[in-house]
Amino acid sequence: MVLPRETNRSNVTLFSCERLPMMDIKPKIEQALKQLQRVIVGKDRSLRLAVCCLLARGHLLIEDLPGVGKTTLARALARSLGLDMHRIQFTSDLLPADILGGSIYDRESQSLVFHPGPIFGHIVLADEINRATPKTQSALLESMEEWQATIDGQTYPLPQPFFVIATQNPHHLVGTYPLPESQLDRFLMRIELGFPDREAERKMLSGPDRRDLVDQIPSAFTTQEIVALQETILNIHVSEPLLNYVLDILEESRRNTNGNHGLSPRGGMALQRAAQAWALMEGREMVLPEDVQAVGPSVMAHRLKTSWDGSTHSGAAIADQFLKNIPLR
Amino acid sequence: MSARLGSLFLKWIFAKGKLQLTPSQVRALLLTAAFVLFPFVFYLSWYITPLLLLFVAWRYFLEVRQTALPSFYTKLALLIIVISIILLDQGTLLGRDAGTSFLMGLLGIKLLELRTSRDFTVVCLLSFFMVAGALLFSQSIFMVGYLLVAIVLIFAALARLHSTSSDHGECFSSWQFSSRIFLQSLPLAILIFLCFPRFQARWAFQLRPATTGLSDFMQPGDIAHLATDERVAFRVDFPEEGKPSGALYWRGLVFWNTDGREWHVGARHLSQQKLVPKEASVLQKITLMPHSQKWMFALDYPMASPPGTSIFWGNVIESRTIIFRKMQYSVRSSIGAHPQDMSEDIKKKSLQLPKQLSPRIVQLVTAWQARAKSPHDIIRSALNYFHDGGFLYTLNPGRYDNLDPYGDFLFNRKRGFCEHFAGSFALMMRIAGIPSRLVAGYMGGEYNPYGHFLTVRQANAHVWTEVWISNEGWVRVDPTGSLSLDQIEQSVQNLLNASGAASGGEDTRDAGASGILAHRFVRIMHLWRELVEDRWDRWVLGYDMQVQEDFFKSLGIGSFAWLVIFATFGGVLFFTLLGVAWWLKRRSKSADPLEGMYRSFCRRLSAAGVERSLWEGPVDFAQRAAQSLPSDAREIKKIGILYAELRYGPSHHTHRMAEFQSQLRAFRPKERSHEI
Repeated sequence: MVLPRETNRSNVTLFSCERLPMMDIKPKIEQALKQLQRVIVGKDRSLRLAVCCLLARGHLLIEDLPGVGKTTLARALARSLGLDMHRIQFTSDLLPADILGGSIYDRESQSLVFHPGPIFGHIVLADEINRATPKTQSALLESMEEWQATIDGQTYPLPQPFFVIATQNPHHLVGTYPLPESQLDRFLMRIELGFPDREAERKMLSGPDRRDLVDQIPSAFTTQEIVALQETILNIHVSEPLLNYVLDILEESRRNTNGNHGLSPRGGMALQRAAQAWALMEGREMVLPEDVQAVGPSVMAHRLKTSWDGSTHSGAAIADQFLKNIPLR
Repeated sequence: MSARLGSLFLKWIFAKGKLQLTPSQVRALLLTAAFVLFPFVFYLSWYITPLLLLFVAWRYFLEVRQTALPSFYTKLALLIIVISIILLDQGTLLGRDAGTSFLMGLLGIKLLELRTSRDFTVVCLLSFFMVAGALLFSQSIFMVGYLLVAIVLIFAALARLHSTSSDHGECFSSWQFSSRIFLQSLPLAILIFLCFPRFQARWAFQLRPATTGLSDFMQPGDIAHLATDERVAFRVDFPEEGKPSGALYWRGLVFWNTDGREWHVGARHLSQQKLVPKEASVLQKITLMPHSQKWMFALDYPMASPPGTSIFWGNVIESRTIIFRKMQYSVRSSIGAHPQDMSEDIKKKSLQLPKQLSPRIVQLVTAWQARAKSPHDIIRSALNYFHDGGFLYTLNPGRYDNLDPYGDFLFNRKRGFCEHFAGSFALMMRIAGIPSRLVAGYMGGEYNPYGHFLTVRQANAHVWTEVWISNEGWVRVDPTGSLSLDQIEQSVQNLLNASGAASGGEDTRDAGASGILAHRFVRIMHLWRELVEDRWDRWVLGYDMQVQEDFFKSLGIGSFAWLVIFATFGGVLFFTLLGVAWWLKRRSKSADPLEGMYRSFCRRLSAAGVERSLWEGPVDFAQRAAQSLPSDAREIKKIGILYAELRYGPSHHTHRMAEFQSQLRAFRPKERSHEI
């Protein structure tokens, strides 16, 4: 496999000229979502958050039981957005090289040739990330943060867009390495899929096989368009009052922490970026407090409190309470 | 920290208080309220505090069961019931007891509608009020300690209201937070206590009902009521030397007139006579508890009256004003003197007899008179009659014949307390022609060896007599003292033992070594408690204008410094207010007109029944309002979106301001929301 040269990050600006007009963005995203919803039934909000996370150039952590459709979601997302997807099943004997790839001696050219690992993809599904050792986890996490992979002292840029969907099972923690807070912070959002309701489940059971459906999804965007959308998000207007609102949230999270963690500055940036992406998906040129509130619980929950300290997902409850406690000024 | 407190305060003022309370917050507040209400059990009518605690328990039960709160009409009915109970019992809603009961009733009913954070803050404020109210009933160090804990609890409840998480650790941290605030504010409180100018209030609260202690008339049985009353009447220091030896008779008032049943003080006359000290004089510094009367106490016989008081006939001191507050005075007494004040008027008064005399008593006294050679013989005969006549000294003398109680006592029942003995003795002396008068006051007291002071309680109340013997003067005769030990009823002996041991006497009761030890321990604890109470009275409660002035003088700040202190306080107050005003002004200015317009929009919707939550964004709110008010849906949504664009959009949206304004001006909700 040869590295696609045009995905070098420094070239991203080339695509900004292909920017979609604002008017067209919302219908187009809605259309893509509609197609996704036909496959992933009854999970509108999680889908929306996943797309938002991708547009905000963040990574997604899905925390749920096996079999609720994490992989299907990742594959459907990749199809719909016209991106390629690699999947890595994390196990306790997985090594960094299994993710990043390595150099192998080529007899014909009489030199070492780099064989990229599964990390070199647009969407990387890291399944059961907490099963791998911290060393392997950190190899992935470096790539997530830096958009690059370092192998044998050589640094390779990752394709753009680059989007990691990591999943972990919140139960059955025996023999796992739960992600520490510092690494949880690198995920823009954490969502839970949960069981579908009765109606959705009926549709799933009576309808065609999900795998076939995924393959039938037409791609609504090109890779360039996605990158352009990611660029557009940076231009969504953040007004002074909204900035104050975000600052209020950060301040509130650090006050009266009571054993929780306050939000880090990176958390603050994540909140703002996610809200911008949400606003874009709503077809707006500016961020409203509603956007912050829509993404807030998913962005803040895992930064405030890890889910395995006894009280399951209390981070989400805390985040919700925050938002209801902070008056809009 | 002050910023933290400030933000708490601002949240109080500006938060609209619509936030729902969590069950743990409600439970914490209910426990706090119960804690604050509890001490009133001891001071108010027996029914009101348990009733209120019942309300608290009821609300707690509702919270645990998550059931609906009582309806408006239930609460109204409860309010009417509470008010009528108080009116029936007290006849008013004003005054200390009725007013406090009423306030407690309001607090209880407020608890029953405790739902939002505004109710929560109201309950906290009311609780602070109750804390202040409790001081009207008692200012003892134990009460103050209890109330300080209550204050910390209320602050913890408030901190809990404003903290964001719903964790278990929160309980502890809110405690920690409020204790820290409390400790940090303590130095300031002490500074203000020391420095804040004190005024001698011209008006006086009647803080204590006048039912305790002695009164200006006496009928048999009055003093016996006091025998078990452990309340402190006054405390005495002896600045010059230790406690004088011998029996301590604290005279308070003299009864001159009798009608055969009751004894009265009668008309008061200033005494002209000066006492000549016969033996060593004793200086006493007395701290008198308020008793809503004028009389003051001193050892027999006060030589001069302290400032603001006068000496009346019978060598009794009286204040010129009614004593509503704790009072301190120094008085010097001459022990063992015999006052010489006698005139025709006094003689007439001290020989006054009731119109109807019991013939039995007259007969008895004439028999003694016939045998007697001097007044001393008559006195001795009377005392012997008490000693040998089968009399019993008891706390429960029973009811006496209303027409001739003293005859009944002397000849039939022969059971009595000091007032029976003294009253009948004085009557008999008058029949025999010996001028005599009844003196009421206290006898003895409990000496505290740790604090070197004497505590005199209501239980020490005593009545004795004085007779005039020419050449000698007024001589004290205490008929109760002539009784032998086996004439004293067991219950009274125990009582006397208890106070006897206090004055350092040996406890001779048969008890095991451990029993004695335990008894000793209890005594020592009791004495230390006394000491603490005394110091508290003296240093904290007794810190009045005069003491404050002395304190500052001792620091080298003369009274002229008051001007400086006033100016400092005034200045601080002035500049604080100025700062607050400036801040408020800036606040209102910084709020731009757009916000003002939006607020008026929200007000109109609120009037139509749709209230905006504080955290709700404009589009969400408009969406919700449009759902509730379908006939105005279009305008509401339009205004909501316009506002969102103007407020959060890039500046080139400003040209839409005019549109927003005209939309807003035209907007009048056509209907009211029927949702709750």
